[in-house]
Amino acid sequence: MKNGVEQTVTPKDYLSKTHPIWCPGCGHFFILRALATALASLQIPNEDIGLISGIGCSSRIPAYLDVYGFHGLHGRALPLAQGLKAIRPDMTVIVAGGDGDGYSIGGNHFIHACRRNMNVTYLVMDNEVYGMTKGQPSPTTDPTWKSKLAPHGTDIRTFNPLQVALSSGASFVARGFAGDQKSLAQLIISAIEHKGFSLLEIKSPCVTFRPEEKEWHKKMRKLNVQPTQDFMEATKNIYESDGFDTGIFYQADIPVYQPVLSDEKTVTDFEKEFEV
Amino acid sequence: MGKNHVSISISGLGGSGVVTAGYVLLKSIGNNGFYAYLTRFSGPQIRGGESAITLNISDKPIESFADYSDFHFALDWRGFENFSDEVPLTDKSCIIFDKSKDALPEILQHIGAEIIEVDLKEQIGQIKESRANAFAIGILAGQIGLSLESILKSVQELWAKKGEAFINTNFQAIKVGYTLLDKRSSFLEKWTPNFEPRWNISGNEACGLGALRGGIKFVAAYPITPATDIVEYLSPRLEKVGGAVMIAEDELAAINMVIGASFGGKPSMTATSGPGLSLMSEALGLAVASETPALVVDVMRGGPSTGIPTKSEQTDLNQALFGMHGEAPHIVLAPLHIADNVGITQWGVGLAEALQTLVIVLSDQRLGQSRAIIDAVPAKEYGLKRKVVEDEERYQFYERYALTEEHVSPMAIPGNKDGFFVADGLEHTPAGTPSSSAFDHQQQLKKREEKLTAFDYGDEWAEIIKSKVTSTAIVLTWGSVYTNVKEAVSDLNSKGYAIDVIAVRLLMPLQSKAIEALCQHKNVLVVEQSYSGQFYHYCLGRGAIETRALSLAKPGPLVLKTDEIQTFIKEALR
Repeated sequence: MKNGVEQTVTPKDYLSKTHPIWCPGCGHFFILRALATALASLQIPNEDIGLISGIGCSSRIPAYLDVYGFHGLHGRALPLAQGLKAIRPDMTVIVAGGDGDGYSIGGNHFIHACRRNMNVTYLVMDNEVYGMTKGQPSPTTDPTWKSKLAPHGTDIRTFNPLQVALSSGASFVARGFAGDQKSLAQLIISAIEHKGFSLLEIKSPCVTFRPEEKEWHKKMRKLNVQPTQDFMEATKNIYESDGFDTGIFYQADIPVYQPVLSDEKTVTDFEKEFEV
Repeated sequence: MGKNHVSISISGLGGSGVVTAGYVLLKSIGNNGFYAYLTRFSGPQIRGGESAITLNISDKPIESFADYSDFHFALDWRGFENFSDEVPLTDKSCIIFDKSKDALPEILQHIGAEIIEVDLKEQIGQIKESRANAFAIGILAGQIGLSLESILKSVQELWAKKGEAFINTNFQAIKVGYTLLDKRSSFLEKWTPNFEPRWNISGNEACGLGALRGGIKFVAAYPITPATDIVEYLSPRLEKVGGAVMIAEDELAAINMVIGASFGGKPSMTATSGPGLSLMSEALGLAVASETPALVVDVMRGGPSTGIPTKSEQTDLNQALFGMHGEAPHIVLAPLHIADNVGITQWGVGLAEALQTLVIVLSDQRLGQSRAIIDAVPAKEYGLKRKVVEDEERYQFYERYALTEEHVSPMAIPGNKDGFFVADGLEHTPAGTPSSSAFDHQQQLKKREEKLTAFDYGDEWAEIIKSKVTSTAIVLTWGSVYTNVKEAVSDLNSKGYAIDVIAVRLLMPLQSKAIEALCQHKNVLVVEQSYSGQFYHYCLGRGAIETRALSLAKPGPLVLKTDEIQTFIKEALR
């Protein structure tokens, strides 16, 4: 409310004036806009949003929104975000980053963030490549993709983030596509609204180092199954997906970790314990 | 008039009740109006290994190791050879042991100590369900003249959960032990007790209390010896004063959680030891670069690598000072004794908050895991608070890293409508926008350095002891070594020497000018518990001392004893 007139926030109210460093045509632009759209739709006050990231192209995103941001260390966005959420449950905490940041160097934190199931939203902008360091294979890169670092391909099977998230305890597991902004915004809304740890893996083409990913829009499709809270069914759906299905694979109401803070004592009470 | 003191030690297999006996005696000594310093030693076994305690007892506050035990009680001799360095038995010692368990070890047969054998099997046979360590408590108490009333009071508290029958039986055993041996010229009975407020506290608990007094509201940590006690102390308490403890998946997570919570506006800390500090290095630099307050307590143990987890050493100094890549000015503090853990930790919280930086507190296993009867530590106000953007302030353009006169910029706490910013580990402009320009880099480097060097740390930076007459020598030391240095020097000064002591609490930024001034025209002796003389070289490198200064550097886990320090000083001054 301003001067008695109802104010409607728009996606623009969340976008900052800083222009992204991303290459023209990068999928991340679409995710940025979808995120701003989702925030506007949920009408979350800018000052109540904590957008936490690690290092990588996608991790630059906090600067592009007018919210409280932390551009931290490579792979360490999740613990930083959980520390914030633990002590500031009033905030909407969103973590954003890439596939290398989240699934490789931050892999251990990914497992434990799922296990803790705090009310935090994790957006992984997965382009199946390390872009900032100019094109090296990540855990989600196809084993046959040839690069300077792996001239014959990595010959290592890809990491399945949805499967790992599910089996580690995440209560919301979904996949989105940068090229379908409307559905993506809706998925982000669902992920933020979900009570618990939400993994939203977003396929985001890297047009510079993986130009073949421009073809993703032809392959991505909506999941033809309904969100389930049945763990076994979700496991099966994730396992059977070729990686191009988008939608919510799993959403369950399971205990959320959040420290309970109380003020029943004072420090002086504890000093008495030491008295001789 | 010097202080009176007497020292005892107890050893035996785990489960024989060595530590329990030590705690009962410590508490009883407190009840009796005296002071004592208890250190425990254990083998590497998780359960059931050999263990030992030493108790240095005095009518004045005491936190130094005794050069030898006046009385040693062996409940058995299993694994004693592991402690033969730490439990000093000499020709001045009286060794009492249970002959129904083991024979006197070969290594102790010819040291010239007085040997007394007791048969506890026979005694236990006469009091059903009684325990050997109860007789040991009684025997030692009788020898040093500790009152039975003070023991009864402590077992009633310590053994409350074990029930009345247990207490009655074992107190009966204590009484029998008390008069089992011939009475000595009982020490404590001749001393003047002090009934001013005193505490029974360990160094790690003292650190936890300091954190609470400093207003810590968030702790994240990964279990590691010998720092876990701090978190175990805080865990059930912090949640009752509006805070939270998180168990992190590793130390990288722990420190990043701390940074996240601090970004959320709450004073936050972690506790770790050397290996954990190594893992945290990258994030320590993030706290510095993003100017996010963070407190890290490192309870040092023997290193490198896994090192000696259960024993003390002062060898994380170099890492605490220089462990980060790039140039990352921060604060490094070190407590000197158990009570100092309270004040230094509290000060550390305040400095981290007020200067928006990283503070590392270097405690060590000896400081952390020793327990003592000390004078109650009165509450203190440091008046150090985080400078935040107030709600009524309106910014046209808020600059998180604005250049200010005192180099600290007001921090906007999430929830404030006027202070959006992105905290960043990338070099940045005053507004927080990433920048790789030489100008911005130099400006921000200067800001981060000068906010620390321009700050007035007051008298807290060191404990300084001046001899009554003009001194010709000065001992420069830090950390847990201080208590034995202090004892060595005050004894020498009472014998006609004139030696000063500087025990440094503020290791970074080092107050080089002040140290230099105090050391002028004196023989400078640097004492520390390391092999390579890290502290000596640091002081030398910062220009606080000259190359002619002498170094007494000895690695852990052995304690630098008072007589060793005295020998070093005497030889240096000859």
